[in-house]
Amino acid sequence: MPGPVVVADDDVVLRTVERDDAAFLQRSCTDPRIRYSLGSIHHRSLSQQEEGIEHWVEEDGNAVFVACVDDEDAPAGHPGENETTPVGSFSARHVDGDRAWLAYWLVPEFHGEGYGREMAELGIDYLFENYDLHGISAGAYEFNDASRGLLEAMGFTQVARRRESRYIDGDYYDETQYDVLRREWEDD
Amino acid sequence: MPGPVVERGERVTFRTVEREDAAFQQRAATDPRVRYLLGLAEYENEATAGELIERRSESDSTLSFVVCLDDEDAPAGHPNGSETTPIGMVHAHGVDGERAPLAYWLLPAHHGEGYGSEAATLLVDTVFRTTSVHSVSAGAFAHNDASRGLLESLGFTQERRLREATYADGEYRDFVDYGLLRREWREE
Repeated sequence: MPGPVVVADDDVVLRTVERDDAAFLQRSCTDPRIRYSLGSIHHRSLSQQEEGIEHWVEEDGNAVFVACVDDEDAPAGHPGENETTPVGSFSARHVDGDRAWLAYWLVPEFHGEGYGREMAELGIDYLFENYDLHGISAGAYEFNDASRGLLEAMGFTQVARRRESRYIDGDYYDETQYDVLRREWEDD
Repeated sequence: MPGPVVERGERVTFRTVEREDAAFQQRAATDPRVRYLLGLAEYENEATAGELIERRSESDSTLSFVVCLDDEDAPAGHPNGSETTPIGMVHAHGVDGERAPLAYWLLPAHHGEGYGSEAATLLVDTVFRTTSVHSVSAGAFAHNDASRGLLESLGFTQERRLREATYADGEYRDFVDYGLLRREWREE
């Protein structure tokens, strides 16, 4: 299960990734409804994912969370199995530099409820409040209308369209990229 | 000194990067006329430049060459100090993937002679001839007119402008990226 709450909004909370969350995170590189949108070509085993938590999640330059929907009486500390529901993950790399790169996903059964936007805004607020970042970037493949619409709705500007940059599920696809500068985020 | 000739252009040759080229490699990260344009905030000493050669130039996913001006009687094999003049380096990263990012630099003393264009053309040609990548990319700071003009003259298309991407030489500067697809290179 994920650990204590780091930041919370009305419906979504961001909790620490614990080592036994490997099976949950593994879904992002196995479920075709998630992994294609992330451009994950290679699935990973549970053991690879466990190593990934040690080498990536626990690395100082990265901020990684499990996004959860808590029950009413869920504790701020370590929750029990029936006290919270992991719905996705929010992460940023290079938070120790000028510019962080986002990645986030929701499990498909929680799409369409507004959790994605709440998770992303909560996570981005956290990043700008806790790290000396000048800007934040994010990418989405051309076919990922939900993610691109979310970035645009949050005030990100499209800055790139890398043509045929990734081979996914049988074809080459363009990757679009977006960014937002600190002053733009704070003006909003 | 660089090693044997791997590729030949009209005037320049691509020779292997040898461990003893660390002092030459180091120039890219020390000379302000080169490092600012490459966005390298941190200089390196000879030892770390040597480690970079081991980590990058000797990696299977990278093609890395010293760009040289050979004397008329320079051997195809290992030259001695008076037989060839190293003037820069070129690298293609990720040549085992779908898109290979290119990087290159020339010593300022050899700018303005068309060597950059010749070396970049030879690099793109070498990458498409010897690897199966779908495309190549290359970046430059927005204010680097020479490098951008070169990429445009080779048929690259601008795909990204990362706003205020990197703090270099006193201010945040935009960074632009270009892409070139294999079929576009064939058409040239």
